[in-house]
Amino acid sequence: MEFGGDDTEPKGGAKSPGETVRDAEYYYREATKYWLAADFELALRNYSRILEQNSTIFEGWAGQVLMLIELGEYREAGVWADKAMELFPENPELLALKALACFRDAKLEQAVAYSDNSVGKENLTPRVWLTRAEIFLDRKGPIAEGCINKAIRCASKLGPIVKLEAGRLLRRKRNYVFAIRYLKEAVQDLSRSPLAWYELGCCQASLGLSEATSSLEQCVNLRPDWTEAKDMLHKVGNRGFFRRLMGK
Amino acid sequence: MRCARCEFENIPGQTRCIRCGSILEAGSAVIDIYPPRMPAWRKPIRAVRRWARTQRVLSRMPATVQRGFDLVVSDSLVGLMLSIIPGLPHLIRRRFREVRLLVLLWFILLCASLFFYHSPTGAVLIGLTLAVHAWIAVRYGLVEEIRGFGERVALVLIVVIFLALVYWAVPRVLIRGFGGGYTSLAIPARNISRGDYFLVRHVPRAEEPLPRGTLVLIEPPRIRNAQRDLRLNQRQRMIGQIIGLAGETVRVEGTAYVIGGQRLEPSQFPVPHWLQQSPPRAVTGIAVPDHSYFVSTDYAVAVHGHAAVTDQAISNACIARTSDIRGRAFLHWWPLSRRRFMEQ
Repeated sequence: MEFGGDDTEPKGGAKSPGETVRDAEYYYREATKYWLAADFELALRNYSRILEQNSTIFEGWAGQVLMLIELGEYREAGVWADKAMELFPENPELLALKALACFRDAKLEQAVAYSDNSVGKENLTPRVWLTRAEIFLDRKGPIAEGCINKAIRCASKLGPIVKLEAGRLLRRKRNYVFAIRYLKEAVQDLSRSPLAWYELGCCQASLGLSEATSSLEQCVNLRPDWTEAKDMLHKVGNRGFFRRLMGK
Repeated sequence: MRCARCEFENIPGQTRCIRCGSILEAGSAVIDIYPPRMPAWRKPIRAVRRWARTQRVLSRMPATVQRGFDLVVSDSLVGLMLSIIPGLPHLIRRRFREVRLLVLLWFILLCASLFFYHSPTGAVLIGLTLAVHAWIAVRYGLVEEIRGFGERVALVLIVVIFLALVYWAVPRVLIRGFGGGYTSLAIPARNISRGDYFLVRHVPRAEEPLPRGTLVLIEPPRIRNAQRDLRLNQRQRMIGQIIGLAGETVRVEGTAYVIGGQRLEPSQFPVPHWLQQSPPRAVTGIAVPDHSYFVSTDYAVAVHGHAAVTDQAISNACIARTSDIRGRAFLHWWPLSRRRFMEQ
């Protein structure tokens, strides 16, 4: 099977009672699960499977672009965002994702242009504000904070994920104190997410807090095959007083 | 027709939603739903470029420097390097379809130019092969990155020179001591005529000493100034035939060589014209020293101040040390009608 999924899945025919229906919604749930487990490759495959079912589902396209960004393939993400915009023209979330891809690829002017374009549209999503926050966090802190707050306000049921994303972007900018605030709120709702625990653990480790070990242990328990988390746990467990003080 | 994105009820027959512009119907067969992926080897290259952009190192430099840097760390340059095998970077990037016909053309031209190697047709064909190869390499992406006409021409020239060096080096690396040379001997028993062209390869130590009759490529002897009585017109490497082995003595009787009192068949071991005219005078013949061979080749001889060529001059011209032998002929290449592998 291309996606490494269950090969025993029957092709067509009547499904037995209680069997999971593998429709677009199922794959969306799977993709979100893998994303929150920081397995971006599998998440990307599940987003592709959503589009296999129905290529007009917006979440599939946006998810693919986001996963490409998470995998560090910014140029490909940009190309794919353009492709998605052929189907969903002037979509603010796709514009925001394109801005994010440009920003992470160190193309600041383009990123600002796309972000400006995205906030000028209607029906703004949290992603639009989170991207804007990421772009402006270095240079215009108060604007960025406002953007994060707007993202959380318009998140509705996606609140925990938006908080997780906010925490991640603040950690990326080394603003650990604020990041911990959001990540702690996120792990309360996403207690089964290795990604949330990992981000929290990393922030705590950077501030020299002893809770880092327990957060990272929690993360490793939830996803034992995650090498990065295990390495981080090992590193945190073995560092001395001076390193803890320096947040290294 | 309801839009899947904004749930707006559109007029039947619409392809896009009136409210949000989303497409209303799309089959996965017509839309590619699998995103492009980045090959792992490209990660560090992109990281360098990103770092340069982040640090704004280049923004303060002249535009030419910026373009040069971009080119050096671009994917295209790596692609160019990989293009030593035509189409390889395209294959890695899943763009092989773009150049598949060009690669096929290159392969056909390469086969044809190998077949006609060392002939005017072969030279034209190898030129075309090189041009197609260069075009495949440049097409990978450099053409888009370099805008000016002059720059493009310069780039293509550089690529052609680079690939020409590769073409020159590859056979020499694959076949050690690869080369070729013309023979000035006619050997009827072996169906060899004057002017035939042979391909040669390195002689491994295990093959030494070479048997009598072997055709070898030798350096022309440098005796022009040392021996004023014998002037050779051969300036390039040439194919000669091994006649005498180390420790033997070689005499010439009429049209045949005599080795240790035994006459060699002239149709298999022909005596060149100049030796028939001026055979060695010593009764014992010319002794072949250790680690040397008596190699028979035809020279155009000009004698000054003497009635005949001296034995010393013949010895200098015909005795080749092992180190003078550049290779052993393994393929009778030209003319085409006599093309065949040499019996070893």
